Amino acid sequence: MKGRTKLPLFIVTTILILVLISFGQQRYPAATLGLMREGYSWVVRIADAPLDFISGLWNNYIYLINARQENAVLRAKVRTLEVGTMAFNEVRAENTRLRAMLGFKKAYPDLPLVPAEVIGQDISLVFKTLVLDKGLTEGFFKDMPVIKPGGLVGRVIAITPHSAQVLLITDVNSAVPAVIESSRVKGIVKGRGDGSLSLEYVKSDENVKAGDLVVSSGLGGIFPRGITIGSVRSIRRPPHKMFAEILLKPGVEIGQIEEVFGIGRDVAYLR
Amino acid sequence: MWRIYGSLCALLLGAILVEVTVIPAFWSNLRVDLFLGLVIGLAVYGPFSHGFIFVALATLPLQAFTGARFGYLPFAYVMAFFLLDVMKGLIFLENIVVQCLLGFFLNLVIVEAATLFVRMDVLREGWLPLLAGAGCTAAATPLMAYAVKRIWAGYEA
Repeated sequence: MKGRTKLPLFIVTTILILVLISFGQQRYPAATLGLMREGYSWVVRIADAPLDFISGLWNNYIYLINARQENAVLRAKVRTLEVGTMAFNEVRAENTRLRAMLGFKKAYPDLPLVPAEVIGQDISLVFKTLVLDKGLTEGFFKDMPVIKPGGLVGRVIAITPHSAQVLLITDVNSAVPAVIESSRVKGIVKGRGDGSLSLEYVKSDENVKAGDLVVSSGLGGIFPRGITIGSVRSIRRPPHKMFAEILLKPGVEIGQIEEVFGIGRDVAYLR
Repeated sequence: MWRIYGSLCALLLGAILVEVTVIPAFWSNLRVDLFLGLVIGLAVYGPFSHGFIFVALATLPLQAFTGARFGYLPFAYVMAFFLLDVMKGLIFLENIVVQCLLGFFLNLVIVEAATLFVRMDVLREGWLPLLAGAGCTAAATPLMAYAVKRIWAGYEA
């Protein structure tokens, strides 16, 4: 392309992109993006299918034949045990996670919980979103609260038939109406982007101390009341400011999320 | 032409799979920008018009896997592409070391530029994931650029 056409192209592109960004400020759901995520969820399913097939073939057929051949089993025993130990550790960790989730579901039998697995994370270091393997078909919906046994994870911001994008509470765009459980002081929990949270709009003279549990207040209509968000890590009361600077530790380890629950519709109270 | 776009799309899909699912499974905070290598490869080895169109269109599927405001990724990568096109006349960009350095610094620039939109300091999370991500991006950039070069050479042959 000749140099004299590049400059107009540069200018036109810049204008187009600025228009795109201005649309983005209003967060219009882009159908094309949903299609991408939907397609991606199928790619992951298709990529998993041969692995599942090979694993099934091994576990249900080849391994059983080998089991009958005693000599071969004995020769392979040490190696199998070594591999088995590694696999066992993974299964044990998964078992612990799933038991915690099962216990959580039993603790709230009336709560419509929909389980999902994480199949992807945000491509950038700055923004904090997850992609789940469940979507509209499985009962997920836009603005659905997403939790783990430890507490609140985030909410669904985009949805397709078989995938959902979740905005984590630690993202800088996230805001959750909250209340300190013991003192009932209200505020807004915001993500800081660094894995921690801040509780905003709490007056400096309010009764807040480190270790206080912060739960969702139910205001705003998105998150049910009473979901654990985190605990107060530190408080600073600058002398010339109206509001205290309160930092929270999230209730869930955000970097280690593999399975989550979506909370179904019409749930006003968790406890 | 469709063959080359098909190959580039396959490369893009592979990059997305690695960025979104594989790498976070190993280290949750590590982000490696494989797409940057693709942009550099297109700027260096492909004609401007095709490279520009592909970079502009390829940012849309990427946008589906981030919480970034709509338009930020096209902005970042198209600007990077224009910058590389200008630099092509000044620096020998086919050099692997130059590509590594470009991958490293452009990755940092794109991450830092994103922080302007959200008013946060990415270093607050720790410099280790940021530098590790930039280092891995630097290592992956010549590989991705080489893949683009091979695709383009195959098409021209």
